Formats: sequence, C-alpha cells, structure tokens
Amino acid sequence: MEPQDIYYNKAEYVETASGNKVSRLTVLCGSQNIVLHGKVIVQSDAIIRGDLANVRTGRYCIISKNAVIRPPFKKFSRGVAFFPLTMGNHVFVGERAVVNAALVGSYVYIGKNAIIVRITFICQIERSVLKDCCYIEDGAVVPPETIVPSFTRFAGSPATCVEELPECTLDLMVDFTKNYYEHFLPARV
Amino acid sequence: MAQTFAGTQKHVPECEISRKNSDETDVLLSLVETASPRKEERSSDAYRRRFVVKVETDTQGSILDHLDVHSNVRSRGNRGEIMTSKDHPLVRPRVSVSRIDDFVVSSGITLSKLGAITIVSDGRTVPIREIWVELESIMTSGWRGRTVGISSEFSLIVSGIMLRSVVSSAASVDSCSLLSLPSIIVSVTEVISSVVMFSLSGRLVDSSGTFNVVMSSMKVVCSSRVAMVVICSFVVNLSSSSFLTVDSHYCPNCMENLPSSEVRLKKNKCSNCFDCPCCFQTLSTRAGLAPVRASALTEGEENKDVKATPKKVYYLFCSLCRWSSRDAGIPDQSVATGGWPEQENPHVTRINALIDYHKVLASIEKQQCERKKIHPKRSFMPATMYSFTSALVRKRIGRPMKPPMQSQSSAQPVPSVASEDVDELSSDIFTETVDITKITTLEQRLQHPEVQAEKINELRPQHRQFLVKRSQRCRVCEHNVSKSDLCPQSTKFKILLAAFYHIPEVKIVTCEPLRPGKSSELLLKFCNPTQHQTQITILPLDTSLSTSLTEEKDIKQEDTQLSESSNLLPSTVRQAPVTEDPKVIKVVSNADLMLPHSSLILPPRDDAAEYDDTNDNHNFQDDPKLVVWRKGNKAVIRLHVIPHDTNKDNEDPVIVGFVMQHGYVNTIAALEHKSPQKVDVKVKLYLTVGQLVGET
Amino acid sequence: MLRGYEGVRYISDKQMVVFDIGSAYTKFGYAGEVSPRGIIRTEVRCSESKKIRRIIDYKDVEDLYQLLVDFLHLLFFKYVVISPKDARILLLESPLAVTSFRDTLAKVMFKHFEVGSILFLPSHLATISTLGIDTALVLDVGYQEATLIPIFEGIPILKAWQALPLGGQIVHENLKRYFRDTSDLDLSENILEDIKVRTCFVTTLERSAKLGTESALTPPPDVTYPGIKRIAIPGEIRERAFEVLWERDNDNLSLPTMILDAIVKCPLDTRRILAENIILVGGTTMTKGFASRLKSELLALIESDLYKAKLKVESFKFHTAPSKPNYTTWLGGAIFGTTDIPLRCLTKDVYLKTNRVPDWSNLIDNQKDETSYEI
Repeated sequence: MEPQDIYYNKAEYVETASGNKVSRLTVLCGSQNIVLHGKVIVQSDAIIRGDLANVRTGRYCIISKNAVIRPPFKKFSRGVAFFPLTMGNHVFVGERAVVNAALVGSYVYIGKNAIIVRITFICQIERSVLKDCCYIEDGAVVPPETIVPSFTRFAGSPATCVEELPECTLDLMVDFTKNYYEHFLPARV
Repeated sequence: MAQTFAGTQKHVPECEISRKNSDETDVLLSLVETASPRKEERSSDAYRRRFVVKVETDTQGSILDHLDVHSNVRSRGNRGEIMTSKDHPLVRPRVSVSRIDDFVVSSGITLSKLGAITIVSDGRTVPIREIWVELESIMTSGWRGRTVGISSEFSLIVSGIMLRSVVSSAASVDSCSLLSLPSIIVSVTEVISSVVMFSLSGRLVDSSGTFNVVMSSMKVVCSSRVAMVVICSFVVNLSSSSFLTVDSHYCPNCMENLPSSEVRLKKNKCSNCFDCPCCFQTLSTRAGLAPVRASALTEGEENKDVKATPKKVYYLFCSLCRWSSRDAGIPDQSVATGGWPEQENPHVTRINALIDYHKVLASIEKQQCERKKIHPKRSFMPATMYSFTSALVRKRIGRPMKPPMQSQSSAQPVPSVASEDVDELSSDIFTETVDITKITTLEQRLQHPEVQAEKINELRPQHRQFLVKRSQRCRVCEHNVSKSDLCPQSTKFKILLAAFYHIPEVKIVTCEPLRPGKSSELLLKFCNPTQHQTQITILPLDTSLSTSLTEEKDIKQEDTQLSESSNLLPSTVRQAPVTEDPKVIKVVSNADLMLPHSSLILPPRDDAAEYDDTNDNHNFQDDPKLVVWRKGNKAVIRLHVIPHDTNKDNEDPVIVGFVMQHGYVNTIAALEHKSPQKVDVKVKLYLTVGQLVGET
Repeated sequence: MLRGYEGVRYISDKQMVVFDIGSAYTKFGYAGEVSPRGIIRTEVRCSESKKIRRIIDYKDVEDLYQLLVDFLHLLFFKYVVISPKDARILLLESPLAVTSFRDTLAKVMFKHFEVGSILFLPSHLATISTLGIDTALVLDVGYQEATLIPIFEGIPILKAWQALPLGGQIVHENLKRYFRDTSDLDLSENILEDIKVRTCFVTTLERSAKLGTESALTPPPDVTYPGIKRIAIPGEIRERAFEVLWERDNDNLSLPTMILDAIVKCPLDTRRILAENIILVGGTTMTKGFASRLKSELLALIESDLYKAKLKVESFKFHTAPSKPNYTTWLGGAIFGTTDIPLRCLTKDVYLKTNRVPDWSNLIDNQKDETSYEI
C-alpha cells in the first residue's frame, strides 16, 4: 500500500536547510541540546525534552503527533542524573508514544495508539535500549532496563518478544521513512 | 456362525457376523466395526457404529475352499494364513490369504483396489461383483487408524481388535491360543484416508509467500509478507520453504556471543543475566551497602575494615515488579556478576544411575544382536520400546530372558520402592485463609520445572535464555540464501537474497470505490529493486506459472536454461532434496481485472538518483493509457477492476489476482557463467483492494 | 553456571532432543539431562490469523500441519535452539493418541524440518524408565484425558488399556460452569487454570461424601482472585472443582474404577504386583490431595460389591519418580534417549521412501518375522 500524501499547513512548519520539518506547535525544551540530523519530521504537539539532557536523532526520523521524547534518568544515592538520548537513522515514533529509552538504534519502528485508552501513554519505553531493526507494537509497554534485540517485535504490557522480523527489515524501514518524508507535503493552497 | 470365532470372540466385543441363508446365492462379507483404542474412535460418533461391507459372489451355494484376498498391487509381503476351527461346515480348515499387505500400500490406494478380492470356490475363482463400504459415515467422522481383517467367516472385520488380541494375549500369562488367531488383517486405514484427505488440489507457497498485498493496515506489514520470501539465485527458485539452521547463540540482554559447544554446556542460558521469576523481565544488579549485622557475623577479623569503608554488596532487583533477591531470602553477593546460588535437582545422582543402567542394557542388547544375527529381535531392554509385538517374539522364544549379565552388573540401580504412604491432604487447608498473591502461578512454576515452587518467596531467579541467529539455505541446491553477521549487535548480512531485493515491489496507490459489476480504476505502483532494467507484463491469473518443476510451487519462472542451471550446483554430492508438499492457496479472486495490452519497462535502481532532482524519465515510449506516472525505477500504472456480482453480502473484501511476469537477470549465477542469465519470472499476485461500496 | 559436572558426560553433537507434546503443555529438553529445558503451553500464534491458538483446536489435517510447522519452529529456534536438520528426535506419544496427529507430526518433522530420525516412544512405557523397575501400572492424568496401561515385565498389557475423558479440561469446564451459573462470569481458560492451580484441591473421601448434603462440613475459606475485576472464589468451589474426576459417569466409570478395571483385565498372577506398583503421572495428579484421595477411593471400592467378588487385592502402593509428575514421562524419554538404539528409530530415508509411520495398530508393522522398518 502506497502511503497517502499527508498535507501539512505550510505556515505551521519550519523547514530547515538540511530538510528537517518541525512544527511550530511542538514543545522543544532546551532546543540548543536537540540535534536533528536532517530530513527529520517533528509533528505538532510532540515534546522533546532537550533541557534534561542532549537529544540527538539521525536522518529520516519521524516523530508523530503527541509523542514525547525524554532522556532517561537514573537514580543514584546522591540524586538523579539524566543521560543523553540518541536515536539512530530511520526511526519512526508513533503518535502518543513516550520514549524514555537510553538508546534507540536505527531502523526502529515504535508503534502508536490504535485505540484510545484511558492511560495517557500508549507506548512507553523507559530506560531501555532498543537495538537496530526492532519493532515495538502499538500499545506496548517496554519495562525499564529492557534490551530489545535486533529483528524482534515486542508487544504487550510488559512487552515481550512475540515474533521475529524478516531479514530485510532494514530496507523496509528505510523505504518506509523515506516514503513518509516524500509524502509529507505542504498543503496546496 | 459365531462359534468359529470362539477363540477370538472375547476380544471382539462387538463382532457381528451377518450372513444370508445358505440357500441364497450371495455371500456377504460384512464389515463390522468395533472399538479400537486409538483415540479418534473413542471420541467420535463412529464409536459403536457399524459399517457393512457387502461382497456378492456368483457361487451357487457350493462349498468354498479358498478365500483369496489380493489386490492388483505388486506385493512384497509374506503369506498370511488363517487357521480356522474345523467344526465349521462350510469352510475347509485352510483358507489362505495371500499378500495381505497389499492393502497397506501408501496412501495412494483407493477403495477400488478392494474390488480385487476374489473368492475361490471349487478351484475356480469367483469374481466378486460388488464390494462396498458405507463410506459416508466414515468420512464424516474423520475415521482413521483401523484395519480390516478377513476371517474364515467371509467377514471383513474392521479391526484393531484382531491386533489387540494378538498383542495383549502375548503379554498375558495365560497366553491364549496365539496361533489360532486369524492373523490376516488388512489395513484400510490408508484407503480411507486417501479418500478423505486428498481431495485437495491447487498449490502454493507458504503463507508468508502468498504475495498477499493487503490494502488495509500499514505498509510495513504488507510488504513484510513478501519480505519473508527468499530467493535462491542458483536455481532461480523463489520460495519461502528454505530451511533454517542455527548459526550462533547470543544473550539478548548482554549480547554475549558464545560458541555452540559452550552454549550446550551452559544449557543454552546466559550465566550472567537473570530473568525475574515473577514477571520474567530482566533482573538488574543493584549495589547496596552490607547490613552491619550480616558482616559482623561472617567477616570476623575483617570486621574493622568493613566498618571503615562499608562493603559493597550486590543484589538482584526487578524494576518492573520490584521483586528482589533480598525478599526471596537469597544472600547478597560481594561480586557484581555470578556467584548466585544454584538450585540443585535433588534427584541428579538417582537419574544418572538410571541412565547408566539403561546404557548397560542397551550395550548388552547390541552385543547380543551382533553375536546372534539370527535372532536380532531378542530384546534385553526393559521393553522393546518400539514395537509392541516384539513381545510376541519374546514370547515365542520362551520366557522373557532377563539380561544374563544383570546380576553381575553393578550399574543396576536400586529399584524404586512403592509405598502405601501418599501425600495426605493437610487438614489445615480447610481452615487456613489463603493469600492468593503469595501462591505462584503455573507459568512461574513451570519456569523452573525441577522445583515448581508453590510459594512466591521460594522462587529463584532464572538464567536468561540465549537467542539465535539463523541462516537459511535453499532446499533444492543447499546454497545459503541468507546468512547473518556473527556479531549479535550487527544487523548486516553476509548473504541476503530476500525476494524484496529481486522481485519488483507492487503497491496499491489508490482504488476507486468498488461496485459490483462496475469498473473501478486501480492504480498500482511498481518498483524495480534490481540493478537491471526489467520488463513487467501483466497476465491473467490462470496463466500457467511454468513448466516441469514448477508444478510444485506456484511462484516459479520459466527457466530457459534449466539444464544449465543444474550444472551450477556445487559438485559436492547431495541428498535428493526433500520436497515439502506445497500448500494450497485458499485465496479466491472475486473480481475481474482488465488486463493491459502493453507491458511496462522499469529502469534499474539507481541510488544516486535520489540526490538528483532532474527528472530523467529515460524517454520510454509508454502507453499513456497504462502508465500514469514514472520516476526513476518506479512507475504507476492504471488498471481496471470489475468486482463480481456474486459478492452481494459484502462480507469478503474484493480480491483481484493476476500473474506478474518480469524479466530477471541472474547476476549471482553469472559469477560462474560467462554471461548473466536472463529469465522471465512469473509471480502470482492477489490484491485485496477493499470492500464493496453499496449499490447506489 | 555449570552445576558440577552433571550433564557434561552426555554432551555430544548428536544429543537426542526429547519432546513430550501434550495437549496442554509441551515438555522439551535433551536426552541425558535430569529435567526438561522448559515446559511451555502447546499453543502458537497462528501465522494467518495472528491469534494464539492451541494445537489441539485444529480444524483439519492441513490446519494441523500449519500449526505444527509454526509450533515446532518456535520450539526449535526459540526454546530448544538447535538446527532441526538431521537432528535426532525422541517423541513421547501415547499409544492411544490420535493417528492423524502422529502422522502429521512426522510429516512436519521430516518434510518441513528434515530431521534425521524420530524415535516414537510409548509414553506409558517410557515412564517406568524413571523407576528402575519393569512392572508398573501407569496412570497418566493429563489435560484432555486420563489413560492407563499396565506394564508387566517391560511389556505393556495393552488389553487392559483404559481411557476416560477425565483431566484438567473437565475440571476447567466444571469451574467455568460454576462461575457462569453463579456470577454470570465467562472466564477464559487461562484464568480458570490459574484459579484451579492456585486455589483448588482434591478433598478427602469422607468430606466429599457429605458435600452438597445437609451434613456438609464447613467449607474452606473463600479466596478473592485479584485483577481488574475481582472474582470471589467460594471455599465450596475450591473443594468441589475436582469432584468431577471422582464422580461415576453413566457407565459407572471414574478414575479409581479405571485402575481396578485394568487390574481385573490383567492375568491373575500379575494383579497383586500391579496394584502394588502404581505410578501417577501427568499434571493433574500434582493437585494437592490427589494421590491420597485416589488411594482411599481404591480401598473403598475394593470392598464394594462391584469388585469384591472379582478382585482380591488388599493394598495399593504408589511409586514416586525422581521428578515432578508433570514431566515424569519426559524424564523417562530422556533416560531412554541416552541409549544408542538406531534400530528403533524411524530415519528420514526410510520415511521418505515409505511415506508412512509404523504404528502398532497396523498389521504391516506387526508381522511375525518383522524386520524393523525394512521395506
């Protein structure tokens, strides 16, 4: 299925020289700590907490509406420390997902909400490590300090591996995010 | 009539012999159903139902001296014999039945073969005019695993019973007339199964390879089905039926990569990572300070140092359910990794003794077999585990022979002693209140099968299981079609021949609302992932996919150089490939597709083109009716779908099917050949294009 | 983490893989090990519908084939972690099980996974390997049914086989019916199983006689089952859940009569020995109070009019295997699997040539001078 074109309001989005498309309606705290590596889409009402620690994303990352990207923290005996959050290339973060992961590899799909549930977060990832090429299904809750290995699909609460992904996941994700970017077009007036 | 069955009757609880009066010309062979212990008969309705096989002959009431049963299948079997009781007036003592196993030839046999039963009367063969089985009732109840015997009574007896009587009597001490049992039992198992089961036709690949392009849901899903399919370029064989082998083991948590010998030693579990026994998530090691009391008790001398710098101790903690090794009463460890106490299986020595004992028995049996090739069936194992009737052999050679060396063998463990004492139900179960949160669930118990603790605080952390990396090989030529990098972190592949990289990708762009009987426009996007230009032609669904070997799988190509490609196979001697029965495609197209007359040419994939915004269309002479849009190696074409009128209730989505033929240049095989092979590959595609819209 | 050196001895490249595929749970592991590597539910995510399906719920042989392909894939690559190609498999199967299941399983193993050889081992017979004796009356109470085959001097007395649909499933149905009737709850099988395992038990014979009558004793305490919606489990149902196993059916049959009927069918001089060598296997027999109830039922029955005349057995004795009853059969297979017996295995070559699995109920495998698996 070819993705449908998504039209956005041109006035709402800022397009940078490197091809990032960032909505003006997002909450980007501590924007000096946020690095978007080009061709990244950040849609409206997404929150990126750069004020806590550095957030870096690779190329072709898509952060959907209402998603929250927040660096992970760890409690020590003398207080709390936040760690930078790094995201690889070609990562899709679904709507309302909450990403607290320590590391998100490349070619990762993080699901969105399928059905509105009372709980505010739909897909939460806390202090975990997502390796390259993994898939977090809609509504999954990945428990703290979990390591999601490559080529696995995690689902459920607490999330567990339910399936394995095909070998060519890498190219599927590249294709998917590129296509998404290509179809994310300014609305024709 | 039943008296001839005196010997067997007691084992044949429901034997019914029906025979018409002797002054009638017909001889009836009746097939009587009885209970067989295999489960399906017990549970199904077929239980206690009777089936009748009727055999009519032309005999004019004369005495029959032979009942020959054979079929027109070539036989290798032995002659079976029936001994019948002598007091029956009609039958001479010896009724020989030849080639009893003819009926047991594999499942290809059909019922008509049964018609070859002949009855010999007065030295001349009397053809049986008719033989029939009430198949209807058999088929509906999934009836299997039964055998038919032919007795001296001219009765076909559906058995299992016959056999059971043989087997059981051998085992019992009062060895009932073993030899007097009619031991001609013809299995019709296969006959029936062939009727019931093999009315299937059509073929396909695995479900993941059905090339179902699903319109709904997201894109990653729809193409991943195609993505599971791998392609073997050596025989240009598209299939998902490659077989998998385990390449390397790694821990999903610490990503440790171990050789398989070590993995086996560690029982496939990581020595450092633990799973929470309650919620099965990964446990993390937490550092804490040693409680003073514990150190004072154990450390003694060093106590002073400990007080000066509080010693660090480690415990395991689950950050999801907050289980901790301290709650479970496991002592803290002074080193961060390892050293956690293991739960021992208390029966290890006992089981090892039993294993040794069995090994001794097996070796004795092997020696005996070698020494006495004449009686290879003599068994010294506690039982001839496989075949029940080797008990029969044992019976014939006398009392069960105890292993002669058993007495000398020191390996024999103390036999288990039965006791009258059993675990009594404790009486406080009737009075004590139960806190269900303190009782483990079955999942938690089974996590550690040796212990299966009942109380939560008896649970112990379990070592994490390794995951594996796999490689895939082609079933036909055994070449690797996918092989991953050894490093568990890496997502690279040494070899990856997924169909995704070789077969043009098809995506549905849009489809106009579908109305039965009306034409709707369907836009499809084709993308050429290969390095070569390809031509795509759309053919009707009923196009034969190929010739010869493509009978088996529906995704095949017309390999013009089939004979040559077989030369490509490595010179090593290989076993004949095991061909799995192809699965049947259950998808039924319920719409017509207006096929285009021209074909589509797609240029090769060009990674550089992405950065090149000049719209180079390669100046193809496209049919404007067909090609709507084109860019790089992608093109969109327009087709027309006409859903069938039959799908009125609008329950099923509209599915349209076609065969896509595309040129494929086999570059890998070309490494061994001088020039690249060019073949046309045909792929059957089914598209689910959506629901019908109400007729307005 | 190595546990001493146990297991080291038996490590070889061609270690046998032992499967006991039960209707509810599958036990798997390697031959020569003291316990299974794991016990998992016999269910798999169906590749077509993406729903978890139990293998026993298969619709037809084709469906079963696909389910088994998926399930064994999971077993081989996720749990046992072994390349199935040319592996040696030991399958424990009840001689009373469904033929089509066995045939399909062999087909999947050989045709899809191309395993090297399969050794089918009758489960009841394998069980006695764990005891070091050769005579026992094996009662297997599993999920779908209870089966019994006495074994005398290593030979199964198949004549005396018994089978009744008494097992975990009927207990679940019993519980389900109760919750549906009283509180209009339609509980899933998994919750019912959890309730059964964590709260229910087999009550004593004396108490069960009074159950449901005026003189019933105080029931055990109620239990509240936690969850989004709390479920109250009355003490009475905790006590009564397993009663269905002991109630006589229309043919006057129940678990204890199975044992006695089997003994009656056995030759006279084996009866006493069998009665004094009973072994209980299968998950359902692990229920609290199961063995003691069985014993008291047996002792009561033997005095009743039904059996008094037929059977002169005074005592019943039970064996304890060096394992938990739910994997005793597996352990038997694991012990047996260490012996090197290529003769009894069905190899891939033979299977591909003959395309059939030898079976005891088929005459061709039971001929007088049968030479094993020669065609």
